[in-house]
Amino acid sequence: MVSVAVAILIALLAQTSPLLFTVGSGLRVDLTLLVVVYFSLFWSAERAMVLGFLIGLCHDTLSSEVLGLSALSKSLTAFVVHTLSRHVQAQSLIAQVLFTSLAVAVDTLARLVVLVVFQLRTLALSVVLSTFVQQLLLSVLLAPCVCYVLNMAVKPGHVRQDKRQSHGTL
Amino acid sequence: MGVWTVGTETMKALNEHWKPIVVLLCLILLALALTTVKTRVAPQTSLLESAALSVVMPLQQVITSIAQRLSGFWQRYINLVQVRQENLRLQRQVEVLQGQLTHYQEASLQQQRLRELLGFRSLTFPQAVVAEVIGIDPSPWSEVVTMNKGSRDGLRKDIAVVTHQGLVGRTIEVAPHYATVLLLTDRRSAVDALIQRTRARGIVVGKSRRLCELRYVDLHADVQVGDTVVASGLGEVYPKGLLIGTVAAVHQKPHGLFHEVEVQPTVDLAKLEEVLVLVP
Repeated sequence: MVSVAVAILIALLAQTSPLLFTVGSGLRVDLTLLVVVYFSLFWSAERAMVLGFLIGLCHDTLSSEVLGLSALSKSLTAFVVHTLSRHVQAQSLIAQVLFTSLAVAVDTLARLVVLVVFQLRTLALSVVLSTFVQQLLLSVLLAPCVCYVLNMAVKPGHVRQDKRQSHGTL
Repeated sequence: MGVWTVGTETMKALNEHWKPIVVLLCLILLALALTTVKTRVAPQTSLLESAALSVVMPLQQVITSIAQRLSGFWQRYINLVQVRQENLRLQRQVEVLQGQLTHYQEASLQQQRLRELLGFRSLTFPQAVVAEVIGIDPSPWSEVVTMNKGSRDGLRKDIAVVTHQGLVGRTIEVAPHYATVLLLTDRRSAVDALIQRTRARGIVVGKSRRLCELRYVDLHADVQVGDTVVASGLGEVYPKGLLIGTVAAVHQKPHGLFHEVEVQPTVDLAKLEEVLVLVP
């Protein structure tokens, strides 16, 4: 559990570092989302969702956005990734990259729905698209590295039950 | 007995099936409740946010400090190509600027005297707090930075933050030792502004990471590419005359009421290191 906390702290530190900002203002990726994807692939649904919620809450407390926004989007992302990856070999690099793309889409969609429906705040389509595409590309590029590092550092102790009967298809 | 066992197993399977959905719904409700609490009950920085900042930002400050020292070492002692030429160019520039400064000082003193004569409010700021940028917003959807000065240094919400190049943004959350600044380029930022040359009025809002948009500029107003945009002073957050940026593009809609004006901020917001907080 300590290693999970350290992984989250490192992801948050990297994400809030102004060094990345100075290297390139476009180099901004939601590393905590990649951590959520990893654990959603290997952990049980409840654990993954609660972890997603807690990571989102940490993200929200450090962000200027409304408290609860990332908590909601990340727990939903954990649920979707976990549900759709039932019959998939989670160790597969292709699977990890595909589920990362899916996670970015779900996270963005959930965020937009909350902003539009509950806060009556609209975003320009160009901003949404550019942020989404940039997020998607950077996340897909970083996903294998993050998953590899997490594989080395954190051993997924509580392997999900449904994996024991399933046969990998990807 | 057999039917009973089958029934229990079916119930168990159903429970297993619905359990994640129930957990998800509970988490979503909890998140929405938090959103409501934050928006309606405690819009200021909460204890939770203050605690998170106090945990992450000291670590961030250490990392930033080490990186800056390494970068400084590289730039000051190793990467010295063309330093001599730059030094000469800067010396010439200083001489020119010195002359201009004397002229402006005279003009400023004269203006101060005239304002006092007319009984206007003074344009000088009693205090400018220097702060270092130590963190950025973790969300890629926000253009916000965190600096290492807070309420203990006299800062409060809604004060202008600048550099020597112009306006950076305003403080939106203030913890005892840290404060967050909403940058000009964030979509939530809005500054009442003027075109310096023609005094045409509009509102500068964040458009993308590098650009702002000047909205509600009358279609008959004279706006040209290269015009300087300054704060109008309305709203009492941003002092009048603060440099915001220059007009990068002007689009005219055939049937619109307003110009579509793109503004390039004069401050490179991607390379912020130190800022000045203008405490009124």
